[in-house]
Amino acid sequence: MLDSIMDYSERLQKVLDTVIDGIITIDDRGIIQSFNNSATRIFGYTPQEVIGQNVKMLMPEPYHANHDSYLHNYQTTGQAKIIGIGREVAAKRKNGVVFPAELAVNRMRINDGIMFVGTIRDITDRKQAEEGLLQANAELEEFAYRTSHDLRSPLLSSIGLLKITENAIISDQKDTAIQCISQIRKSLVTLEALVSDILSLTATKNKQEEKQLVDIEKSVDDALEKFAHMEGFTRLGIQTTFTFVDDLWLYTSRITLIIENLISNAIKYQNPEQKLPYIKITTRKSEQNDFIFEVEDNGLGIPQEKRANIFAMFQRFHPKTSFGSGLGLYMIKKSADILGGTVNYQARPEGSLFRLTIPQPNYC
Amino acid sequence: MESAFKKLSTVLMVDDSDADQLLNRFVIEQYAPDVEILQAYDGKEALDILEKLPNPPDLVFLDINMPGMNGHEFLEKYSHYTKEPPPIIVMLTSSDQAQDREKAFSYNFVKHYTLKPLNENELYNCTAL
Repeated sequence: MLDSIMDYSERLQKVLDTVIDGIITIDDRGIIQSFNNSATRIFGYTPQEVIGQNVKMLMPEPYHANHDSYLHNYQTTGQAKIIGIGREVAAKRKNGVVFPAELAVNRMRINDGIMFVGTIRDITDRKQAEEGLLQANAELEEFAYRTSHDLRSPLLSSIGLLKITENAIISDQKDTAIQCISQIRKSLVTLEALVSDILSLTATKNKQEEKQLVDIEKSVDDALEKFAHMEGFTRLGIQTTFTFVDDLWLYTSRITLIIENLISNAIKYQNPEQKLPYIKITTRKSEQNDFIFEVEDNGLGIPQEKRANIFAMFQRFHPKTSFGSGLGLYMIKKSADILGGTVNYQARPEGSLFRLTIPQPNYC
Repeated sequence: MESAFKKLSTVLMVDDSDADQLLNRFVIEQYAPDVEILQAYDGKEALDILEKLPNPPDLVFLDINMPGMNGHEFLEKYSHYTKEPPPIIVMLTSSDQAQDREKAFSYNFVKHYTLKPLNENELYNCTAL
């Protein structure tokens, strides 16, 4: 008989230790009576460290300070905020990290005493996924709204201009017709650039690729060669300083996108009134061994009031030089995220400095 | 229709797109050849022009989506504009969003909301405002 009770009790403990959820029992004063394996995995405490301690040690403020009164209120009024209900709470690991959890508490009577059984599940991953989805959804909505404008606008004006072209040809006004056609062509070129940015953005989001050894000097040279035909390129003094010599293992498509966009921005948004416009392209290693890539210019810069949101979608800062799709910096930011790095902007007395920083573990 | 346009002497066109500026100019000039058309490429430039003009224009066509100061920001700034009488503002945009419409009409000097492209009928309606 005793053997079979022992056997049963052991088996029960095995079950408790095998379930995925943390199971914690406390007495009516909040003192921990048992702590299963999953609770150990979730919180980082061994049963020996917590049994006999008040359960509020697993809670961040304000729950930590208020837990005694929660218990007291329940015992005097019978009103439960969590018992028998279950809800999302914040919990605290041994290392101090607070995490979101789902907690269900049930009351049980053992002999003459009251005990509470808490079942707790770490929902950090789910929460992160939820937040990611919400953000992606908000971006998608913004995207749909903005594309409806930025894609339609040049189409609508081109349709209108074509009608005027037609009338002009009929009434033999060649100059008007040529003026319209030339503008339609410009609009379509801009539209093509936008569509191609949208496509590479989708690629940025979906592409699976392996890290490769990147020759940053060559990538910069390739980009400069690619943009050599751009308006105003020959005016620019281009200085390159490459002091970063370690091997760089990165996703080629992302680092290329960043290099190309930062350089072409510096070319596009140069200041036509600047006597000696320049672009300085630098690589170096920070004291923390981060890979640093910088593009600095003395161009138009970004107006003070627009600096807060520069890496958001569809931001354009320069009336009259507004041939950009407004997606460039957003794509740079997304690519930097994927490379495990950050990109930031600093205003210079004249112009801009963009810096990409990739911590060492992410480029090895 | 001809007579209605005679009321127009100056129009301010606020739009960042060269294509729209050109198209609107052709549409307006076709029906009111003597109108003076002023061009601004964002809200800031429009405010500067309005500030300098001895007499306000008869109509302001205002786009919403512009780099620099956009249409909504322009309306907010413009609501503190003191010159009398204020010119009539017509929104001329490709945005069909209810939120853009509501935001624009919350200013009483916004009289009309037109979707691009501008055509002669819409222009005629605007001159009747």
